[in-house]
Amino acid sequence: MENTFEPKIVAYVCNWCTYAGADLTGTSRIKYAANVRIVRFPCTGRIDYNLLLKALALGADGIIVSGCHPNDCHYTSGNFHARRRWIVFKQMMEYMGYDMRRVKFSWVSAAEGAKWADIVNTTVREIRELGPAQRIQNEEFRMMNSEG
Amino acid sequence: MYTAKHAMLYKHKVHDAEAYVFYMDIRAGGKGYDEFVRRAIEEDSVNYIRGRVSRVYERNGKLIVHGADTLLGAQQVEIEADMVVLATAGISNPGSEELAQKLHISYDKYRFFSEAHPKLRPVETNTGGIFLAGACQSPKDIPDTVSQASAAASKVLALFSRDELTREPVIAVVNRTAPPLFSTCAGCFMCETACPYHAIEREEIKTRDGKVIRSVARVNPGLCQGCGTCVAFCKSKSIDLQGYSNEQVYAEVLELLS
Repeated sequence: MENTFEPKIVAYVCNWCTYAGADLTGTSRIKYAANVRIVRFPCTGRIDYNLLLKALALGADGIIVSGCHPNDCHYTSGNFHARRRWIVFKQMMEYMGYDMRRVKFSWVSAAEGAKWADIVNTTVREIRELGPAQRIQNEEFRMMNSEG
Repeated sequence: MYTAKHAMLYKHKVHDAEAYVFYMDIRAGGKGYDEFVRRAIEEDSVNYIRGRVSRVYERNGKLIVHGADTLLGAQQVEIEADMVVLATAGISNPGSEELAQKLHISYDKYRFFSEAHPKLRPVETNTGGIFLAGACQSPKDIPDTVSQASAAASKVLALFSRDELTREPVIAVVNRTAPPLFSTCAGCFMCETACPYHAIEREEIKTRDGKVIRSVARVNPGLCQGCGTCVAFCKSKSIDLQGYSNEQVYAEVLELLS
């Protein structure tokens, strides 16, 4: 049977590095999978657990979180906070039995258009193999949100 | 550069003395700087020797400097010197790291303070209202310091010349919605530690007769740069980044996924 599943992937990116990087991917005319929906934030430091959980609850099959490389944050330290939060979030989700292969965290600078395309393509390929995500139900979401 | 100046000053004070400078590359970049070094060599007859010093030792109360003149086929040079000066690199002040942390401004790995942008904002720091001038930012000579200080002073004047401050539209706000004395802020001040700009202040909620009920966070709109780190840190979800509130992002994600 041919695999016709088209995953929906939400990308939370920072304005200064990855968003500019994704822009560069476009201006360099590099093609990448159209499954990704980019949500722009000023900084990865803004990206909270509940935004990731909400995306999963609303039916995202995968998430990419990407910001500036360490020490390159426009706001000095936002990406360090994001990195710490990511470590805790990953452990918590794995403990709760969520397949964290669906959630990717990476650094893409404004000069790394090709890297962005590569990350999107790899993620889409992997999630296509994993199949549609089981939605985190509302009760579970509420429970996790109150703890996180 | 300062080596040439030292040698020159020394020759001006002690006329019958000899000054030797061992060098590999003369770093005298800037307007009139090469002429300055040439003047030291030609007019004040400072002996510039291209080559490294291999050994300095004491003999009969004199310091013997052993070196080679690479421009004369690595010929051995031996100088009986009264004083040897090491032309070491300019480094940052030992207390600069502490000062930077106190002011919440960024600094590089050599503990020089970082400007907000190397080309477009060379005298500002990332923290509003703090400007840089002189050798705290990088090793500098007097003309460069004066130019930078003038630039910093004019930036300060520009800041004060207006009646109102302009700011970015995207800033964080701690909710203080109705009733007027109310805020969902629990006063944990996690945001205060997270904020890279020191933009979080403590505000006291008072009753009408001036009794303090509790202390809550408030964002100084002039200092906030709108990164949103405090929003993610807030446990009671009392801070929102204008334009990027949770509800707005949820709505955006909902539309994108439908």
